[in-house]
Amino acid sequence: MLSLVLWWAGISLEAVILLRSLICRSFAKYPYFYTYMTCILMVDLTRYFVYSHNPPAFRDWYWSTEFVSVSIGYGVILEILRQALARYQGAARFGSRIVWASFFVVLAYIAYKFATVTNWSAAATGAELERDLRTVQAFALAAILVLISHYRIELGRNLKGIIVGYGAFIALNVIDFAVQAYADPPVRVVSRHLQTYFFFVPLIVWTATLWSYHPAPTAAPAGELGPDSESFSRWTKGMLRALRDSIPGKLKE
Amino acid sequence: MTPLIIYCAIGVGLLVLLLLAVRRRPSPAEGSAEALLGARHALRTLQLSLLPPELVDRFFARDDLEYVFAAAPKEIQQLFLEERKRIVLAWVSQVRQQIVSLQDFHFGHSRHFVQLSLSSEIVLAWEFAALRMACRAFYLLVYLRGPYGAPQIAGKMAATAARLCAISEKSLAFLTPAESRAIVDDSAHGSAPV
Repeated sequence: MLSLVLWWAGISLEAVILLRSLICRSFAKYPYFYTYMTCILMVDLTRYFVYSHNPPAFRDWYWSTEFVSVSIGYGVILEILRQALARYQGAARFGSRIVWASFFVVLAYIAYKFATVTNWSAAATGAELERDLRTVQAFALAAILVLISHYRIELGRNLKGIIVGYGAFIALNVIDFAVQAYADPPVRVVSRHLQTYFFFVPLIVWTATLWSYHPAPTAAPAGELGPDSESFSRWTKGMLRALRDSIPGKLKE
Repeated sequence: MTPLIIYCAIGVGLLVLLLLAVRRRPSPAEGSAEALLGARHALRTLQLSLLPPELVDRFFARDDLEYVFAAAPKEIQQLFLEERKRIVLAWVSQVRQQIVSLQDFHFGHSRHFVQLSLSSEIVLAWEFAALRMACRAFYLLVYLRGPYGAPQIAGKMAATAARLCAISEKSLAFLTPAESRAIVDDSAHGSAPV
């Protein structure tokens, strides 16, 4: 009974987020993210339908759709990259390289799995696959977060919410899947119970932060800058050398 | 057990990065006169207030120490060491703060360049970090061993301050785009924030 209540609560929150995006006209502002939300809502509704009409088929259906939801999760990472770094061309170039690299890692990994796994079990192989795909997503997101922190990029309220919600969801999932696979049985039982609530973390964060549209802070266009990047780097390096020389000699030994 | 620790570390690491990214103070508006003034101010502070050789020489001059130890009672000697230590610690903190300002200025601007070089940026990030760590280490050294516990400081400082001055001078012209140069110069002299 509780699981059905949680199920409907999750579906309701997803519907609320999508409804608000239509009311506030923010769907078009964050198209990848809201497409992801739409897919997740569809997946949850079909799961509910299968669960209530054909319970024996649920397990296989769950893992098939789970693979879809993990894959479209890349849309959220793309949205974060697009929104956070679009105004900063240099940083955006690094970010897109990271995302493409992680995407190719995922493709290679899936190809490897399909080629090597002989006795395919939806639950065991699916869980392992999801854990590893989430880990790759965690690395891609971590790299983007490093760029955001390093270049001190200003984030709007909506984007902060998307990042915190999805980041927390991925982090909790990676930990949970690892616990399911490697921890002692009593810990696994607790973890399995907690897993039900994990998706509420991003849903609650997204409902609160995406309730209304907050445009991203604006920045000066790159055209206003004086020197080119190489000259600028050279200048900074020269200045650093001079500064380093002025730091007490003993510390550099 | 090892895979469990690795995956948990990845999850926790991501949560920590999330916290840092969301809580970090954003850089001021790029290309603005405020940012240029900030960089100019940081350079000027280093150049004129923090690194002039005579000032650095004065901080670490042993003749002051010898005079106080020869002529003053024990309480005065103690007071002298404590105050000198406080001054040096405040000085190191200021130097570090200005380095952080210059770092913020560099990365606040470089993120816009289309042809940004990854290797250059990594090297610079490392160099800034090393410089900040050196300041921290020096702070710790002075804190633990006192202002006269780290010799060879004054000479090094005096010798390189002039070099820094030259680079700073060049950079002031180099950093300021033609159209905003007048504004920055006026505001620096008149102290009116732009």
